[in-house]
Amino acid sequence: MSLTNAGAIANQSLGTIAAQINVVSRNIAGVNVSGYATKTALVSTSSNGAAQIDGVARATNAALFQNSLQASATQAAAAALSSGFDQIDQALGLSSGSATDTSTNRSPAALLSALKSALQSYSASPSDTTVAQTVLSSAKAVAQALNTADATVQQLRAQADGEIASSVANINSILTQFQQVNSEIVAGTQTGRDVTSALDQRDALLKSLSSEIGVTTVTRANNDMVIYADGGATLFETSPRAVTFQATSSYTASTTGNAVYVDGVPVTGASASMAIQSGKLQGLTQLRDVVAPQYQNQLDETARGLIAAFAETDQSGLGTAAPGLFTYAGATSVPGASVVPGLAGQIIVNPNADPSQGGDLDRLRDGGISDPTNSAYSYNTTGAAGFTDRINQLVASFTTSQSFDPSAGLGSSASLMDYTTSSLGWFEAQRQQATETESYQSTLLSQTTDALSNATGVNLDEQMSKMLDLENSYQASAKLIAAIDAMYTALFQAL
Amino acid sequence: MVSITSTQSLTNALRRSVLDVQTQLSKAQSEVSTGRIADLGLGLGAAIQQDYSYGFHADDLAALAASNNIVTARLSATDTALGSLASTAQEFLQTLISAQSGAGSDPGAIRGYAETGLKSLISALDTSVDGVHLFGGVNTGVAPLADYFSNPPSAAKQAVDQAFFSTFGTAQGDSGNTSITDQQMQTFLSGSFADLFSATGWGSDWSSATDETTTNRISLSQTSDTSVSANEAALRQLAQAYTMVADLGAESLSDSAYQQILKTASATMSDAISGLTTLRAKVGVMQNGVSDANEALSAQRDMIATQIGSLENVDPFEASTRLNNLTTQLETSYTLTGKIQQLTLSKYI
Repeated sequence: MSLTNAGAIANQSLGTIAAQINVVSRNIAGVNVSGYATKTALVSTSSNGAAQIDGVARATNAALFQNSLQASATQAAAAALSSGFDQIDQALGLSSGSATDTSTNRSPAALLSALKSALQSYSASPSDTTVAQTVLSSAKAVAQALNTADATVQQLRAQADGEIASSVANINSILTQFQQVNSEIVAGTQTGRDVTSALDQRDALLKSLSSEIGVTTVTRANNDMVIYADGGATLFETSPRAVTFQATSSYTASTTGNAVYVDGVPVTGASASMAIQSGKLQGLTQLRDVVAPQYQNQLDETARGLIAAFAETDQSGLGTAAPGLFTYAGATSVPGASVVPGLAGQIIVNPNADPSQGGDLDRLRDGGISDPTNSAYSYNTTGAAGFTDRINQLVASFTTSQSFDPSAGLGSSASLMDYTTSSLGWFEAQRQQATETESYQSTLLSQTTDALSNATGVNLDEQMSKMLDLENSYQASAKLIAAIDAMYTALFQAL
Repeated sequence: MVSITSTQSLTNALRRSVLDVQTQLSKAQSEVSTGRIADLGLGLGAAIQQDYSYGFHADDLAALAASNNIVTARLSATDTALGSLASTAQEFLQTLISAQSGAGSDPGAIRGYAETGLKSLISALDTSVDGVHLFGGVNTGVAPLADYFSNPPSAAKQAVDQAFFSTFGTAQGDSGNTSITDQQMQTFLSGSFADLFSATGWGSDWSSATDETTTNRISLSQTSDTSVSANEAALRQLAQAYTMVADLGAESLSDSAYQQILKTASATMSDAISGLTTLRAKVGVMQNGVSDANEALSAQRDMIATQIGSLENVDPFEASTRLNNLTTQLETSYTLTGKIQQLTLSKYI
């Protein structure tokens, strides 16, 4: 043992401590960075007995990290769906107002009920044009509500389509960045460089990728990572795979949105062989391709049911039924019991009953709205002012069972009133479920994030106390060097 | 191994809990103030279908109750009109009977009574409420009977004149009419004159009312006739009795023919009065039906209100307790956030 050796050890220790302080300050800098993993300097004894830095280790928990990826994907899917439902609910005022005061509710069901009440009042005063006008404006409100609902649903689909496009663009850009970081890690690992910051970056990229699309990962030799979508399609292996999507700018009830392709394989839609299970992308396609179209079908069926309920029959018993108060552009007959795509957007109140469009209000009472020139469709040939049979018939038609297309998901037979109310119930049930899933997934995500953060994150106090230790060691090493220096001085003076 | 808590999760946990509590607080606030679930759609889910069905049902019942009120008002006006017709008819019948007993009454005066009776019959049958002619059948837009004594003469008057002339060859009040025997008069009264008041004759010359009366839905399942037509037999008979005394020229007839008129008029009148009673009973039954329906409606509405309440309402005590708890929790979160921000080693070194 020589003083020289002791001096060298003390010198090296200063360098080691400086490196450790570097790690601690990195940790402190990352204290509020989400996804930052605590770094630890690996210190060992070198051949001359000094301490040396072997490298920097990074706190990890692979299982928790996979869980958090999954949780963020599922949460993103639920959130996309739930916000779609909320949007329709709010735009259409479906659940505003209480059942004790349905007047503030703008749902087709509530407006239909208002129309029924107006007709009931009309039946007590069939000669009163003010009441007839109320019936007409209630009918217009119903038609308009259906038109608006149709437009809102299709607008929501177009919006979802746009979001799918930006999600796809985002995925592609993340994958490009991922390639850069991943190759840096692979190269760094091969040469033994400190790649911990790059690993943090890669995890952060994975995290943002997983909220767009559900992913699973496999780590190969040299820390090389392969990403698969949760349906099995390869998103990244050495190089990013192209995620492609052709956006559709405007939607009608009969428009089918395009599928998203990963590496040429469809991963959404009916033809998807490797359908994705989670992520915002999945939530959006679910909304665009399943939920919104089904609600649209129900709206179309409501419109069709309405046209059928108000259809006028040929009183001479010869001709076929014709659309009465409710009709659509170019209507020639009452459509049969199957979904007519987009009917909800086309339904109108027949101009023949509307004085502002050259019609006659009395036709509400007398019939003949379908074809005023054909007296066979008139129920009240004498034009008697107190004729109530047709009005009573219309009031009854709200509660008379009629056929509906079961493909809309609400059964094949119901009364018009029950059908629209069921549609409201169906919608709110879906909305409630989506919101509950979203809230459950959010909690799960925040718990997983917490657990992951506790396992890998930085505790400031811990770092501070480490810092104090290092400070002490640094002082001691410096003291040691000073002492050795003093010893050499004493020695040289003694000579 | 002691598991560490990362500084980030320590601060985030509180931040999240503050946000969460605030959301719940606004919900609880609205629930306390309205006594109802804050967002019905989210709160009830599929049950909103049930909830709104009840609501629509209640609206339907309210519309029925409102239309029943209109019907009730009309029926009571109908009843009043029929009641006044019955009492006038009863008085006229007394006059006819006393005239037959030869109590020295003047044919001119009795004719005057009959004229008044006929006019009041016409005006009663033309009663309208809010522009709706109660006795018009479904033809409620037009007064069912025209003024008999109008100038130019009404169709009804012309028909009577023509029937008289074609039977006797003279007009009513002609001085030659004293030769008409009671036998001839009887034949006329039960023949061509009575035909004028048959359902067909009445419909063509007298009345523009339809036999079909207005019908209304008075409860969820009941549709009922809600008016009386001016074409009812009792009303035709009333007109018949009044007309035969008023417009056959009583003063210019022989005493026996005149007596024949009085006799036939009294018989027709008493038939009419009993018919009127039946008619009023019929109106009473309709009124009863509507009022029964109204009672059932109001019972149903009460029941529905209970059902809606059980779905929508929140327990106000539970809600306000929750509100209190949430407030406390939020305050605690604030205090803790402040405390934890202070708790850092860097403050002590």
